[in-house]
Amino acid sequence: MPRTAVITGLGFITCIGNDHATVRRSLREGRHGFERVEFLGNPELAVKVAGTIKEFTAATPHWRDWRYPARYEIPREALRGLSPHGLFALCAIEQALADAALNAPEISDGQTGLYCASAGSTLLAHYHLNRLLESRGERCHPLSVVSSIAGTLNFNLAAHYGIRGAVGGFVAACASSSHALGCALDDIRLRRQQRMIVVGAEEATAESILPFGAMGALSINSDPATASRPFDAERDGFVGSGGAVALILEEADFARSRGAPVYAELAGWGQAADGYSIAISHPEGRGLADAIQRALADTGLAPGDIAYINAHATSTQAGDRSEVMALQKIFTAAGAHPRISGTKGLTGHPLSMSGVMEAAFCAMAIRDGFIPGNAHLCNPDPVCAGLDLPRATIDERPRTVLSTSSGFGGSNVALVLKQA
Amino acid sequence: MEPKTQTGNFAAPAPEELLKHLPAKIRERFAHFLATGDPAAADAVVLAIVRDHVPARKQGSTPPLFIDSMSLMGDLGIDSVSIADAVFTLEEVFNVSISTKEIMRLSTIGDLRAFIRRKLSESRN
Repeated sequence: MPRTAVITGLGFITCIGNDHATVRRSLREGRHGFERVEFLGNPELAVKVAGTIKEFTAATPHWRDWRYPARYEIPREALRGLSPHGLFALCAIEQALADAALNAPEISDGQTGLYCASAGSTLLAHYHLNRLLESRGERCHPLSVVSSIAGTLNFNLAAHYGIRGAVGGFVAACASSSHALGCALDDIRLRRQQRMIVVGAEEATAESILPFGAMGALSINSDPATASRPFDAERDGFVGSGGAVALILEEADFARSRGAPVYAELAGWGQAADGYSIAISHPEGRGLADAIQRALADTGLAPGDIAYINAHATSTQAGDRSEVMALQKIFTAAGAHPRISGTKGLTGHPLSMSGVMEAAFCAMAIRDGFIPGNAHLCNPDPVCAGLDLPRATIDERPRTVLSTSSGFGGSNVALVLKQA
Repeated sequence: MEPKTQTGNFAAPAPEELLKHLPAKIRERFAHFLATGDPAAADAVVLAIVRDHVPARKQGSTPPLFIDSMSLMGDLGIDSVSIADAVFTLEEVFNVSISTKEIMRLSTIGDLRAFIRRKLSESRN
């Protein structure tokens, strides 16, 4: 008997909201989470907009200086090893556990695993290595490694929650948390775990965002209302953001036996690489098309069965065009016309956490019966011909949904969610 | 200026910064130590830093006053990584240098108090 997995809990620390109700309202009403920013106090920088995390002040290396909502009670020994994005991740998991009607002690049962995705804390790495180098190797904080390197989320969160199941981290840039979700699903299908927590998190600091500007990947549009506009002919790059999203995945019978609330089924996934460039998507979306085909094969679905696609769509010229090619190849060519939207028009691009964030949006859309529109899309790129790109939210329940993610090195992941 | 994306101060924190989450009376004791060199005042700061590293699950069973025979790991539940963190804080607050070899010899509250007193006396001389 094949095992299926359902999504039972979600938690959000995002630029469009730090709780379910606010995120849902932002998605439904097309409210973005961008603000004008001045990185490093330098008004000369071309990048002037970012997706900022409200209610938190954590863009500083010292946990004593962090400010976060009082509803999160975090013991000091947990704070000491965390990075700023680890703080976001812990808060997102707290929400997801409450949403799934789980108590923290229940997840240290050995049947629960934890997969994390982040690029590490470039802010803390910068801070700690700076001290190490300035002191010619004599001064370095003992928690510098576990608080800063990629893996900091799994080190800290597994210890804090006493997780005794599968624990690991995924590092495939902007596809990372989609890989984490796919592998979590496989662990449940292969009877290795009954429950998986997947969390993706990133900081939104000069250290985490500005290096992408050197690649020409960031928007230099200074208007928060138009800087991120996936699929628009005038798009000029992505808007950086951060935060954390946590998702709880459980074997369906296991979830039902405890009366857990269910958002949707995570029905299957596929992955494929471009084999093309370290940073640029294949111009015809070769790897992404393969990933989508594998996800459809995994779920036994045809292109015409997909009602809605939450596209990776970061608002870069090359990336969106490549994705459009992949979608046309799989869907338009088969006579299928699913609704398609890029919610990064509202959230910007939170890098490693993007996959789990958008899977969470899809789960919410399935349960609550809406399809988010394409915010800020005014003048669709002619290359998008034949794709159904609704501008505004549609009050329609998508029963079967595809969510795509693409990362550096040409990693591509497609996830399929279904109404449970 | 949007502080949410602005990086913080990257200089080493001042000692007072490292104590700012501790009770006001501890910060007063530290100021007194700086002004007078009073080892008893330093002692109060050392014990507060140790208490700050007792994990939440042990806080309830930790007595309000430490006694010298208490073991850092066994009685107070401070693991070796947290001891390293506490020692790093002590180094920063009192501007002393403590080697890993020296840390390995510290197992009780009494060991730590005597050790810091000796270090401070050496650094003043």
